[in-house]
Amino acid sequence: MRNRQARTAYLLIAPALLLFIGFTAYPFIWSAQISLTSWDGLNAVKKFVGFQNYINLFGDAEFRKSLSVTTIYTVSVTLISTILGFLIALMLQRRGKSSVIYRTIFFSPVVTATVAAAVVWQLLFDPYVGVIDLGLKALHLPGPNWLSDTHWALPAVIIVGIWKRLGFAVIVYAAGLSSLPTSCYEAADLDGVSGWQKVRYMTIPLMRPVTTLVLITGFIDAIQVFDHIFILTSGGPMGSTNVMSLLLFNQGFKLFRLGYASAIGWTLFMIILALTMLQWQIRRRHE
Amino acid sequence: MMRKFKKISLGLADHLVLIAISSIVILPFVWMITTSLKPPKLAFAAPYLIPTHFHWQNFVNAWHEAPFSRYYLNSIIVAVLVTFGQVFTSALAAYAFDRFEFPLKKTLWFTLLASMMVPLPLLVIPSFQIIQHLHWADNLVALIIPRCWSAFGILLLRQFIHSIPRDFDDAAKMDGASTLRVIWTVILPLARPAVATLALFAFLFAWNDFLWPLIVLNSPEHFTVPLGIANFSGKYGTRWTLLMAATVSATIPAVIAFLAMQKSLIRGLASGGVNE
Amino acid sequence: MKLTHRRLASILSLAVFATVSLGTGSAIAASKAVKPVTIQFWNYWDGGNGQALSKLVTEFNKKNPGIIVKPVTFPWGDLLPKLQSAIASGSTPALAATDIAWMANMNQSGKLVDLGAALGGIKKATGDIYPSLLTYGLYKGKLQSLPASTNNLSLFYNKDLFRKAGLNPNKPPKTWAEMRADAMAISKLGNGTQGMEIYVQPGEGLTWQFQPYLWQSGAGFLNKTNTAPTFNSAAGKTALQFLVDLINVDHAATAGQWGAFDKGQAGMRIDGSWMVGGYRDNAPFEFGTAMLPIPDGGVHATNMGGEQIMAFKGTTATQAAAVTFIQWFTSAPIQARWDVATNFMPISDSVANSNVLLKHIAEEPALKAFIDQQKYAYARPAIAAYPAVSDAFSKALEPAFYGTVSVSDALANADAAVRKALSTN
Repeated sequence: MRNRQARTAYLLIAPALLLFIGFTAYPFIWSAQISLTSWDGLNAVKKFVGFQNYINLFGDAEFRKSLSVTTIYTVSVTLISTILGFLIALMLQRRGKSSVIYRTIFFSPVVTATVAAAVVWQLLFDPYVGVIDLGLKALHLPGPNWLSDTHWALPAVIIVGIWKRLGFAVIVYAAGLSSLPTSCYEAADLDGVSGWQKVRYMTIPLMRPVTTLVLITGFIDAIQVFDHIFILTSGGPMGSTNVMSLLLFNQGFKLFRLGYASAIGWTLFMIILALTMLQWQIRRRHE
Repeated sequence: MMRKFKKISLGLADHLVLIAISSIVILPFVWMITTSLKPPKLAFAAPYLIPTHFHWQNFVNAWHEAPFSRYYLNSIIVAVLVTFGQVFTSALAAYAFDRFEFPLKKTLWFTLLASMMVPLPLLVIPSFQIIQHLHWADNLVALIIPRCWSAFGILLLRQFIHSIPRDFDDAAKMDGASTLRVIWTVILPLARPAVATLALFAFLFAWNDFLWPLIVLNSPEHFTVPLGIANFSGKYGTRWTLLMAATVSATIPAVIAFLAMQKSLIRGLASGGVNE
Repeated sequence: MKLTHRRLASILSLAVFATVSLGTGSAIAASKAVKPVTIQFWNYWDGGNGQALSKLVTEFNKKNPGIIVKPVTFPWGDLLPKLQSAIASGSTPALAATDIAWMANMNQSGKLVDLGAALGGIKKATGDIYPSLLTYGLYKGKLQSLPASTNNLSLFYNKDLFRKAGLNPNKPPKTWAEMRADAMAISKLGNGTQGMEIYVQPGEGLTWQFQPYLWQSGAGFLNKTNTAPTFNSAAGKTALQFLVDLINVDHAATAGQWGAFDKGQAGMRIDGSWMVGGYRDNAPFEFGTAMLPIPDGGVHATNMGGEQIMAFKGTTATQAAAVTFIQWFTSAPIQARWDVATNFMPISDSVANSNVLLKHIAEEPALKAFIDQQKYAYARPAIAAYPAVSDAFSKALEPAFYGTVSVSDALANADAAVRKALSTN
């Protein structure tokens, strides 16, 4: 019986497992091998250098900077788009016809190709002809030179990240809210509970599974961010938007240091893995 | 009672906030359309948001240089097949992980989850070497098959399937249904919100993907939408009005498609109750 | 529920069918392509350059019925990763044209066809192509690529802004001092108008734009053997100080994104001859060109850019087809027409002196500065470590432009970083 169960289970897992082994695990292990070489991606010979790439990584200020930029980007985009998405979904609740229009507007960025969106944002942020700064000037506010300012470039790419991500959170929350049982709310109304209290003590707890979902998907998306920053700033100015994927891409494909790039990727993987395990441990202790 | 509830959730203030946020969200689209209709010399001249010129030639030129209908077809083929592939493999694996005990289960589960944290650019070159061995280079298959599984999908569906009582499976099995049949006829319909979420996530990922198609595809007739757009900005100067005409061509149909489908999408995401 | 099942099944079978048919589709295409030989030509020539190329290629295909060349254009930044993955997995195209700055690395791949052997000796293959352009194609005594185009950097200036600032629009600056004075006059127009646009984004762009200043001042970039930097000198400091002062002292330039000149928001910029056609058609202002201004006691110098064309090893048939195309494309009559269409510079005297090109230059006076400048074009070091060197150099200089690091510290940092890049790459 047990044997048969195992066989069925393996058959069911097989499609996903085979694809995982063939197209993720195998290339991943292969990249570990590359990380121990000084290969440029072109040369017929891959020179073995041991752990030299990893040792170099420790003294690399660019890598450390990139780590903190990635953290700030991931946390801000994930958190802000989740909170904003929840609030918007809440406002859109039971709003009939007009909610269709709002939802479409919020979702449009999600279906727009990132490459296309980034090109447009690049000009919206322009200090001369950019609509954002022209608007700020009209309000007599100083318009920063967004993408060229070491302080403003990261906020700018975060804004685009949120813009691109918000619609997904809105839709998933809207769906979640629409399936909440109305009976509890009616009972609460009878007891004279205020609107805010209902949100605080009923909606938010009831929405917890949805929130987890939005946060996880947001995290997966944000930590891998590449396309729009590549176009908007290429990681600059002075590395202020140089997220990990970009650093990895530039080292591997622009500077011909594929070995080093692979070492960056592996180190990043180890760090995320360690943090995730730590978080699981903490959660388990709490429960 | 319902009336009172409505009163609280509706309000002028809400509307104002929504309009404010919407206008920021919609800004790039307005700018995109206006610029796509300007003659090239006026690309950087005001007005920026209200079209006053209607230089349709940009669209003629953009379409002449890039066959967008072809790109659309390719993008749709890839995104749809990847979506179905992910739902299919994830549903089977998620069911197995939730309902069965088998050797190495914990190790496998942990390995799959850990794979979510692999930085994708790291895999580009080794993956492409594999694609090459399979003779899939410059073929849409290379965009589809490797993407037909998802650790996130398995995680999501397993969580949801866990909340479906085993009695449902057992009842179907009593009627002589096979495991596959139980998954198709009992589990998947009950797990519709999770399936819809996964489908949306998978579709969008495939739709937006840039780096991998770039590496894999060589022939313009196989290009997807993002690749088609990228070709309008180059080393020797960017032609902004053409680029915007291309961008508008690549965006509007997707927005209209969402407008048409959003009701069923929301219903799909919602039904069954996310909050078990 | 039954319905769901059936629908799912039919969708799945459709998916399988589609996948299988996609797979076999390419197999059929491959088996048909026995005759004539179809080869791909990867490049990054987009827009007008791309159209010019496809015109020429169509002509070639008509003349050579046994060969079909298919040009495929990728964005500049994306062609390199494409080539890297293609070389790593053995799926190279038959032909490619790439940036000369990548050639040292391409040469080591072992995948390039020996053009000297294929074309009856290096001498015969190269003809009267300028020797300075051949350095990129020669590797271990073999000729692995030929110049497909060359170009250089000269000065562009906005005549409208010159007029507005009370300057003579027909008298562009000739020296650094004049350039500085003009830039300051234009920046006084206000509204964020820059006198001079300076490239400060790290990467090869910054290095390639800054090197002319180093060569003009006599500082140089690397030594003759390409083993050590030479820019960390008094002359190098003068060069960097000049630009840094334009930004931080004179406020005649801004450290920011590239593109102000295109929008009519900057008086001057250094750029390549390929911009001439685009500005003539699309710029919202009248522009002029001039040779690069030089410092007191300095020399004329500019940076050389361009592309090399190469054939990749494949079957005898694809290699032969690729070599035939290269020979045709680098021949003087075709190059002359290519330069007319793209405003690139001639690769040899026979191209430069052809009637087609001479007539074009007469009609396009803005090109004259570039033609005059070309003989002062310096080649960037053709070494495999160059991309890493350039990256390290530009990253060390970037903070100087933003005024957060002093000029001498920036150059000292650059010196150390470049030495490290030279020793580890």
